[in-house]
Amino acid sequence: MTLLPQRAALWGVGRTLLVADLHLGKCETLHGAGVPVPGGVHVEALARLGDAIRVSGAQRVLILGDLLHAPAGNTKAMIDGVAAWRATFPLPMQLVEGNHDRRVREAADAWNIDLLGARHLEQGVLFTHAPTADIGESVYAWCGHLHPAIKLHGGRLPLKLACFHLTPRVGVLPAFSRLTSGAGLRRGPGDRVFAIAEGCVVEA
Amino acid sequence: MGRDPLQAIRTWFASRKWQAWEFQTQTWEAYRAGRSGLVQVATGAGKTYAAYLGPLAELIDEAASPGGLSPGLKVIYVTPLRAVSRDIELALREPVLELGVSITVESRTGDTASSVRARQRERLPHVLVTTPESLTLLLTRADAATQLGGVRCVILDEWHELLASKRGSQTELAMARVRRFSPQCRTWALSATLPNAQAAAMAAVGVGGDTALESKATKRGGAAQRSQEPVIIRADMERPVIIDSILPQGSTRLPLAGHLGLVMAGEVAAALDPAVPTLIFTNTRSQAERWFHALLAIKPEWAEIAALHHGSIDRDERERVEAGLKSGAIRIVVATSSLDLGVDFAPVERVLQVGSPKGIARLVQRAGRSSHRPRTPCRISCVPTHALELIEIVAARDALARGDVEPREPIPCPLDVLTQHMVTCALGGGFVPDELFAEVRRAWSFRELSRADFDWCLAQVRHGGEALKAYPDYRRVEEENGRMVVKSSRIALIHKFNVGTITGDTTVEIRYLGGRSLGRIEETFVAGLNEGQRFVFAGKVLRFVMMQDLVAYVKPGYGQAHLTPIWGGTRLPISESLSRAIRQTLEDLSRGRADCPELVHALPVAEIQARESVIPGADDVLIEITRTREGTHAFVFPFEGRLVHGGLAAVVALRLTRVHKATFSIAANDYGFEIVSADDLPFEDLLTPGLFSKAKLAEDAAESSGTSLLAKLQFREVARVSGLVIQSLPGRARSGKQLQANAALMYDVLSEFDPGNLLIEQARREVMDKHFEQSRLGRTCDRLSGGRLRIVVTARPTPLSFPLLIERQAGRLSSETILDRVAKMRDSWVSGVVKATRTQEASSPWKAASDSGSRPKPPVWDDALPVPKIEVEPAQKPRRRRPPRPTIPRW
Repeated sequence: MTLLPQRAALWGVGRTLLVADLHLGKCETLHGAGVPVPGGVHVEALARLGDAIRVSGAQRVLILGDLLHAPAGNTKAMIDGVAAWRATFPLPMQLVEGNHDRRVREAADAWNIDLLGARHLEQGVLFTHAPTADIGESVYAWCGHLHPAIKLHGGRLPLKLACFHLTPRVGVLPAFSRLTSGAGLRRGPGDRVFAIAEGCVVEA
Repeated sequence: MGRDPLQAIRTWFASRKWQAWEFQTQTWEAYRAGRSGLVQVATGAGKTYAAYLGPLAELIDEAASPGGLSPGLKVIYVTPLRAVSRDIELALREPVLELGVSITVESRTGDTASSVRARQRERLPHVLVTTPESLTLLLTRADAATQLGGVRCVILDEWHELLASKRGSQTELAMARVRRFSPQCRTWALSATLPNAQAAAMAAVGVGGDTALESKATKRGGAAQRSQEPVIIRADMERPVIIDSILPQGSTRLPLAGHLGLVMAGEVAAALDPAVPTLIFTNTRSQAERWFHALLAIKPEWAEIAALHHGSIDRDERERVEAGLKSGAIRIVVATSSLDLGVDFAPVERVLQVGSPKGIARLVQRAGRSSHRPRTPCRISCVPTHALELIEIVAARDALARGDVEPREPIPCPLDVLTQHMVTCALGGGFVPDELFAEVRRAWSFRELSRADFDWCLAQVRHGGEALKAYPDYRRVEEENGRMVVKSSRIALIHKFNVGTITGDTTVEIRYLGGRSLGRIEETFVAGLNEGQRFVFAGKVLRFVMMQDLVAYVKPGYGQAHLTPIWGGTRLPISESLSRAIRQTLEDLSRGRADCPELVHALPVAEIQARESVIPGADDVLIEITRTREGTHAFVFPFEGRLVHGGLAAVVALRLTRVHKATFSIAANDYGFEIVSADDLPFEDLLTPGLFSKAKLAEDAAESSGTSLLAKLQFREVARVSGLVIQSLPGRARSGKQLQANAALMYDVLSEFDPGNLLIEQARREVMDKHFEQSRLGRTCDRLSGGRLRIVVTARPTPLSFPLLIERQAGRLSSETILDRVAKMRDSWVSGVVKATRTQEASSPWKAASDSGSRPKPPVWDDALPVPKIEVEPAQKPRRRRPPRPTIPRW
């Protein structure tokens, strides 16, 4: 597994790019509520995803849930915009459904994304959206959902960095969307944390 | 009519055997003459009746006339304190009841019962007591123009409190709107003594607008008065303020640094008389908690008569304490600024201030809480928490004797408040941009607003600004027949729920398991608690049970708890007036002045300072250079407050790196700042007056570390006020989850994708003004680059510099990069020194794992599991040695 500063990870098996928590349509949801978020945010997210695909030479993309943000954000313009982007990447994309993906079918069809249900087991590795208690003892699991971030203290002001949080049994990916705030993480014994700072991944 | 319209009022005064003060009759006369103005008088002198009885006389007169008093709002009384609106309502109703006239007096705040609100939706009372926020909410009503059309007078209470804040800007805009709806409206502001009374008065009454509006107003007879200068009425009622101190006795010695001052708890307990109602003011909430605890530990028998009061404690509990003080059941209250204002605590006889007074006006305000009677002296006893504070106390006393009190300035043109106001106006019947522009410019703070900035804000609410033009879903304000209105009922609702400029951190309610609420506390503190952990809150030892839906459940805890929450917020710096006075007092001290007990007490420390270094004169800037194992330290003492020093230290460090390649760490406190380098640097030659030059100061401050981070922090307020971040949503808190975006995130997103955003600019400007006190920073630079730098090389840290050594250990400032900080965090994690970052239990995968019954395994990267091999770019940073903790030098 290679951790990429684009907030993605590359799995050797089938050169699979793992991403989680894209929250597409969050801007549109916020616009609907009268919050002026610049629209460039999701353009940047898609560009970064494209960047990660190119850099890693991925042959497949596996999304670990929360592709969408909320039904209110699934506007036609958004769906069409993503579809146009999708058309430029002729590689298979799959989605393990997350808690936000309530009405994902329509979007998944438009974007040619295969739905894998809530859990996907492959080569002894479990892919799921949220790290829940039923992961089991025998497999290593990769998930998203938590939007892990570490807080840096000791400086003038606390600073939050998105990070990968790898516990001995579960690996949690950072949220791909930059329009998400990270939740601080609780580090257990044996955990390793890799933060994304200034364009590189560093162990923290 | 012929008779004196004030007759009824005079009769009422006489019936209560009161004699009207001269300032009261002056105000009544001025009101009757159609004037607006400002009444400056100490608290408790009867300024409420000064402002209120004029308009009331008018109403009584009208009620007695054949037509009777028409229904509708006539007088608005605005108070910044929601908690006292009830008391004010009662005070305003008293003359009405006793004179038996049919004038309705009601209050409307966030606490008003829904039945009363419903009635007020139908019909507003003649006299309404309200807060700035509720006043703004009145303006969001579609029929605002008719509802407010009959207002004759608006009274702005505690105007000095509102004036220099965004709540003040909000009130100014609301007043501009009220005056437009009701051109004959007069404004009377009530304030404590301010040196800049003229500006304060102008902010209250507004400035003359363009002539088109004037002529429209003339037919109602209001314009003539409004273009007049405001009347400023000063009462010759000043109460002498006595500042004394409680000094250490016997073997107690004040420490050289620190701000809690618990070493003095014994002296304070001995000095208190449980029969005398006493307020003990502290500077922070956690200090209040600690002091309350310490006092009860010394005098357990005071448990019944002592109480704690601060802003995070549950309102019911605070009201209970206030009522207890009034009735005499509670006689010792440890409080923060939550008791600075408001309710008249007539029985309070003694006031203590623990720790630095920070400012003269603040000390006077607090002193004014004692024996709330006109013309009696008020007394405040200061309790120093460290040795140098003795000098601060003397300085405050001297400054007060000279009448050197801090001015309060309105914030110039806060665009976030304007953005919010636009939506308010769009809701309240809509607006025409040209008219609104003219109207807004009649508010003092916005008198220099440019049309370009106005249009930018308008674009912001119409289509989200340049960056959003392409997005059709975004609509806050829409155009309809030439008027800007809000069409979406959802947006209307969100706006009404978020009116105001008070921003808070996410707080969590603290509640007994199955019992009552104790108050609110910052979420970050609760997030760090483990089950069963004990902490002190609201003066009680509590045991943490669990956290659910933003409620932290606790049980009573017993014994000792070593954890006291530290609430967010920057520590207040000492004011400019006070710092000037401190420099003077130091000079006096160096000349051997010892005419008061504080200075006698400070003598030993002063002697050490004089021996090891020098005591700086009022116009000197002392720079001490000390070489220790850690490296070379330069301690610079401008005595200008912690914020200015923080900014200046960052700027000086940046400028130093330009002439000498090195890494610097910096620290700042209220007296000075420290720049330290691990190398042996010739600071003697490097620290020249040119280094403090004002040229390019703003640029350098912006470039130096921290400004952008601070701006991000400041943006929280801007984003919330301007509606970029929705703080509260109608209905249940959870339903709004998908709309959450925090301000730090918005700051990043906007600076990247909408670089010209004026709200970001505003946040940066506010940081420069507020955090670096830019103008003060500039004045300080003038003084430093023109003044006498006294460079002294000392053998070891001096009493002045030692607190700075401690401060840096607390890690307040550093110039490290993010990668440095990540590396440092890793080191501390590896060595197990620092606790890991903690969060809510629920968001940890480990918690989920342990829920299933299997406890988390010890850290074994078991080969049996398909544990991934991790490749990342290695970060190669040398590990730093932890510097030794400073010990007090042997002088």
